[in-house]
Amino acid sequence: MGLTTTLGNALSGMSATQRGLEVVSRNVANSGTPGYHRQTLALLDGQNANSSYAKTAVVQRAFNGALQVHYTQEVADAAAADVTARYLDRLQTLFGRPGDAISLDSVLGKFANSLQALGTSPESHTVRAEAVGAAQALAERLQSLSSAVQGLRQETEAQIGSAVTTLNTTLSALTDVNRRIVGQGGDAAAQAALLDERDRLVSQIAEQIDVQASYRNDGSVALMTRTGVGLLDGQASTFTFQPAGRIGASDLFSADGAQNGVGSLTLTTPSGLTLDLVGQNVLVSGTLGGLVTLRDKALVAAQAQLDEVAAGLAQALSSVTVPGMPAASGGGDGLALELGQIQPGNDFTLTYTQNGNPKAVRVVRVDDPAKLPMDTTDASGQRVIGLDFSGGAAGVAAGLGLALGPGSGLQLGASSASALRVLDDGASNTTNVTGLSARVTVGANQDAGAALSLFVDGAGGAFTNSLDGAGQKLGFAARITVNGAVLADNRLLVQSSSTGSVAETARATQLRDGLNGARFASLPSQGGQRLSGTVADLVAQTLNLQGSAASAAQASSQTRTMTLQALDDRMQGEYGVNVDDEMARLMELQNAFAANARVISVVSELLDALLAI
Amino acid sequence: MIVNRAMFPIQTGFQQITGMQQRLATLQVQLATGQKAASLAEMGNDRVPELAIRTRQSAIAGYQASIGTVELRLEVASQVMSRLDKIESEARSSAIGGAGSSGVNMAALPGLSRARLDEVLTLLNTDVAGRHLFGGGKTQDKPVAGSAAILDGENGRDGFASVANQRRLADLGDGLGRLGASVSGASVTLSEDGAHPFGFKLSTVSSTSAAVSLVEPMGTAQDQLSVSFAANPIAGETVSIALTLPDGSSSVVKLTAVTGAPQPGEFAIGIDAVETAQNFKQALDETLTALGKTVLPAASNFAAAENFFAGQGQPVLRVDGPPYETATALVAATAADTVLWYGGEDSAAPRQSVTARIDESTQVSYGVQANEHGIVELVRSLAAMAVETYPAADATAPERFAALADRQRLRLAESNDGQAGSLEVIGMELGIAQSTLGHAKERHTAYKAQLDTMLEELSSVTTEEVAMEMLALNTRLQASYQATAMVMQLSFVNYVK
Repeated sequence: MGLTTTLGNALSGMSATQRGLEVVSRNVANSGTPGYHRQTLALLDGQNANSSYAKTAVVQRAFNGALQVHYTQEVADAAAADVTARYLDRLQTLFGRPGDAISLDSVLGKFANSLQALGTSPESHTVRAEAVGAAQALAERLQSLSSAVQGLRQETEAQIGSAVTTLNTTLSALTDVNRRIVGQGGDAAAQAALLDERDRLVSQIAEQIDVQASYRNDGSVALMTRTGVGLLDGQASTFTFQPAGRIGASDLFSADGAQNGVGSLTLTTPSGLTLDLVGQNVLVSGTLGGLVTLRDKALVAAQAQLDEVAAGLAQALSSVTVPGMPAASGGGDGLALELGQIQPGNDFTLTYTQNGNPKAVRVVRVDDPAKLPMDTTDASGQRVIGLDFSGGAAGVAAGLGLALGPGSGLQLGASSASALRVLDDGASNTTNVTGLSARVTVGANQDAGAALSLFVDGAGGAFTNSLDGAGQKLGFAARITVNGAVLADNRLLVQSSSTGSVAETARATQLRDGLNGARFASLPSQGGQRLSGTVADLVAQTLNLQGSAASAAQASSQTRTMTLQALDDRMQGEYGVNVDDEMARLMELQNAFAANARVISVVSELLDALLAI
Repeated sequence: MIVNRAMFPIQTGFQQITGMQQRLATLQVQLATGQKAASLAEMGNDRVPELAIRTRQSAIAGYQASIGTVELRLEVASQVMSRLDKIESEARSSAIGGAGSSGVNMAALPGLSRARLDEVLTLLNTDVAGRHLFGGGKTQDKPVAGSAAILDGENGRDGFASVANQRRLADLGDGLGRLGASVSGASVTLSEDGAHPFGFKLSTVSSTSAAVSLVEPMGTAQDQLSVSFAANPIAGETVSIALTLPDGSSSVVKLTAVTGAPQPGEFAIGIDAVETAQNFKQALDETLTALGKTVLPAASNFAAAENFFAGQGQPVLRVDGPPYETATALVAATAADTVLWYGGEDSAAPRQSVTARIDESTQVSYGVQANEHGIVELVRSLAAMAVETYPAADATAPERFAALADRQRLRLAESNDGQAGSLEVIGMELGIAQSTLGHAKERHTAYKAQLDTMLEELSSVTTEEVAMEMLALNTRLQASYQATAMVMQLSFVNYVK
């Protein structure tokens, strides 16, 4: 009896040791496997009718719920920061360093200098040809930067597509794993391997899209985005991405499906509910979130800045200022302005003082009824009103009066069918009209003034900065070209009248002064950052914004990566296999096994001795 | 990939070493290029000042290029002006009144003047790289025609020689310079034959004799004066009639009463006042005829020169005719019938006709027009001298030459230098432009040097700093390598038998 018990104990000890060796060997074998959680064997002593013996309880897998949650969050953020940093880095490399030959500020500087030389030697064909060449180089640079930005947007769409495919595959694999975890019975080793696979898959999903994982008691996991949309709970939702084909500057995101110009990213839940992920702002982080932000915000802002530069360039050279003429009627005096030359997008500015306070308002001609009423502030703080000019000067006067309100103290009227007249309040003398002048695009290449439409909109003729529809400025940097008439005959650069001579400097002076002196201020747009100043200022601001966006993204990415590494270290400590520990355990098990074997052999000898009696 | 699926992912310790190696590589690049930042993003806060500095540098480069071009043009223009000045003084000093020893001067001067005129017109057509400097704003075409075309005409259009000839005929009229003398009783009336700009114009009349009563000319068109002899004058008393010539100079006809046979410039006292008057008229006729052959042609030439070589803002005029002897008006010359000498720009402010911007708000004005006062006077004098000849056989030649030479000296005198548009004033204004240019050039050079220094400080690395950091990094890297190698070898596996 005693001997049998001893034998039984020793045998149970040996089998427990064997199980332990199994675990140790598994740990050691998987010491380098990513995502492997260290397993340990828990032993209990059990009791049966005869004796107490060693019983293996369960193989325990190292797992820290809080750490895992933190890790899942950090992976998503690091992925978003990484993808943003990579794309913006490529963009800023394309912009070039200030002073490089390809940098926008050098090309603009060369163009400005060529206009300066044009003023000194307008009759020289070489100088004119150089000016045209510099203009072409500038237009070409803007176009290539535009196409680079749009190319990056196109790439983000491609990458969204592949991320969606990966996501769908991973989600379905995770569903499968979940099922097997729940359905699996007792084999602890298989269970542990499945749990490892589960954690690996959750991390992969977290890289693509920000998730919150909740771990059930049975080992399965349920996934939900940070904004609360369920991804996986027993059954997985499916992501679908409909790419938009070729993306241009005018293809922007719109919640209205018919107007949406970019690809649409949707989520279909198992119950059949379809969700527009971008429209509902579901994506917060992760690669998908980063890509969508790039496509719809960061790169669109870059394009908007390029468009501002291009628009400023075209308008600086082609704008003619039409001043108002003095006018008086019935006691009040002021100014009258001819509105006939104002095209959609051109504007006029009214400055007056009321009780000594200077006020100014800019009125833009807007033909698109969908944009009206328009009353906003531009980047320099000036009030901008959009009006419909189809009612002639009388209609404009009425609209302006409505916008300024009855307390403005001005008399607005029409001195003829096409001339607006603004008068002060006459005898009460609280207001005084100080300025009324229009900024219009020059009507023809010659005999229409000293300005010249040197840069035109490749699709539609002269650039008037029309605000109708999507706005002529949207994507203008991709369409800007040098006026074909100037390419054919570069004397147009200096000859402002068809009967003039090539030696006159009026037009060259106007072009140079326009480029250096015209100031612009952008209206609120989708782009985000607002620029203001001369064309050179716009370029400098654009380069500055792109550079700082890129460096901010890189800094953010580095910070996140370092945080992730710190978490990695912690996880390595909690879940990782320390080979030295395993070796020590191995030695202990070896000794235990040898001891148990010794006990068995001793019992065997004793039994032999007993039987030999 | 963020989530690492590689076997034995690199531990943080190793990643730090990789980071240090990358930093070392960056420092190497900095040392090699001398630039702190290799791309736009790396520039950080230096971006804004560097952009501003580069914009300014680019603007200065543009201005410097302009200055270079204008400097060349001003230099050429200045040299032309000094040569013109020299020609002016040569012309003035060779216009000696006398015939010169053995008439050499008289015979040579027309040819010499023609040669000088040729040189002046060629100088006025100077161009720098196809850009003519003396046409004001019209720099594409030659401002003045060639001397052969101007003097002799071409293609059926009249040149100066014909126009001057016509003017001489118009001024001479029938020999008395468009004046007519008539005597009735004891009174002699001298009258202009019409209201026109040609010929002698009566200015004043005076007398030292008490026996003579005078009716002064009234200063109107078609003037007349009369000299009435109440009694016979005493011998030696004079009657002086001042005449204005077509070119604005004046001449005095002084007739002295004598008792015997009269010489040129004298009239015989007759028996009574009537005969004296008749003698007076005869003497007047003779004197006027003599003047008409000597002084009048010179004056006519210069008058024609003033009309043909029109100055700023004036039209080219010629005598309306034929017939020329009885012409009564000047008519504007057209390009179809006359060679127009000047084809450049005609503006009231010649210097402002060509300007160049050499700094933010600094301009140089360096336009010169060939029809400015000083230049056109020189051309007129040379042309007037060139169209006449003075053959030795001609008795009137010396006096004609003297009249012309006097006028030339007067017009080219240094006392005219103070007038606006004279050669000296033009030269001085060009000199002022050159000095403005020089100052701007110095300013730009100094400013550019400052900007270069600032840019260098901003964007360049200090070699010493980079080297120090590289050394320190090198030490840390080596220590890390050593420590990592030691730690890696420390494994229990090595000690388990």
